[in-house]
Amino acid sequence: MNGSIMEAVALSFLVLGAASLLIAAWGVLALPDALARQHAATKAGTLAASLVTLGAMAGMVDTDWWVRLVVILVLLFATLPVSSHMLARAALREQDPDEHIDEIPLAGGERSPNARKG
Amino acid sequence: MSKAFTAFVLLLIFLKAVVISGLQTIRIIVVTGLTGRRPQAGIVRMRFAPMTENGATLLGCLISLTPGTTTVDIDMERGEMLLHLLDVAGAEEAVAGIRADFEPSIVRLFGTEER
Amino acid sequence: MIAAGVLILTVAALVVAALGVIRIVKGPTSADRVLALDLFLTAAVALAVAAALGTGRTVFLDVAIGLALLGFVGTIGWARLIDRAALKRQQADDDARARQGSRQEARR
Repeated sequence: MNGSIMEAVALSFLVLGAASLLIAAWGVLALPDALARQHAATKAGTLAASLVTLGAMAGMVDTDWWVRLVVILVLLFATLPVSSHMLARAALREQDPDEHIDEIPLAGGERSPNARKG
Repeated sequence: MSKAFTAFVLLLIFLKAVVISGLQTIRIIVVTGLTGRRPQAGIVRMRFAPMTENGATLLGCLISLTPGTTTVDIDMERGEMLLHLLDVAGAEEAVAGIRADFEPSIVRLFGTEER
Repeated sequence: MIAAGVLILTVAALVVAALGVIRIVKGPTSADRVLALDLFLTAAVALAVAAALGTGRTVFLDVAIGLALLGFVGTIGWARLIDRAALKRQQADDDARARQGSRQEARR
């Protein structure tokens, strides 16, 4: 009884992960420019990968599996944002090599309210 | 609050941000894919509180996983980040969200005195 | 029941790889192509997890760990390459502009 509930949880996580992976690929095809596609691949991709890993965790309740799955999850969380950032910067420089930083609008005011008082 | 507790809170905030941003990006992709209506994407600058390079990197990664924003470049000398937004109309809101959710914990862990 | 999930996941990952190929062929910039490779990486990790679930062996999870590491290093390498190419092109443009300017000076 208990096992079948876990299996149902695992199945739903795996199906959700597959769906968000498909939507990420759809976004990479449908969104208009390189920087917008970055959003699709990073965010939807991270969500998809973590859902698949969680599904596998629910499907195989076993230390050997959990250790490896946690390592995969941590690696993906740590590396996907960094590689996306590097790629976004490369895409921006490829599109428009002369950056005019001062012409880009500044959002949220000159100083952050969280700055530690010196 | 001890540093370990702050780091733990940051981890929880991070996990929440991953789920929410994933869902929102999925929504934007589906809306764009089905209607062909494109939100106005664009780039803005954001000043961040003085912190070490490690802190700035962590903040950049967290921003990449908030809804609708990606870090494009970090300029330590100017204390600025370049952000790419899927919907540039929500820029002020997004920056305010980053400053409310992520920055306080990171400043507590990695903040430096103002130059 | 898990077998059904494994099947769905496998089919989805293969479809994602096919969509990624379309993006690689269409381009238009090299950053787009590398982005599609990044998507391949996510699909490959999902496939490795599916293989592990399907066969019940943990070896495939080790494969997924290796893939995640390798994909990260690969993407960073490609990003630096694109960066450097853009910088070089810009320098070449500047040189050409400077040369043109001096030629006009000489004509006067």
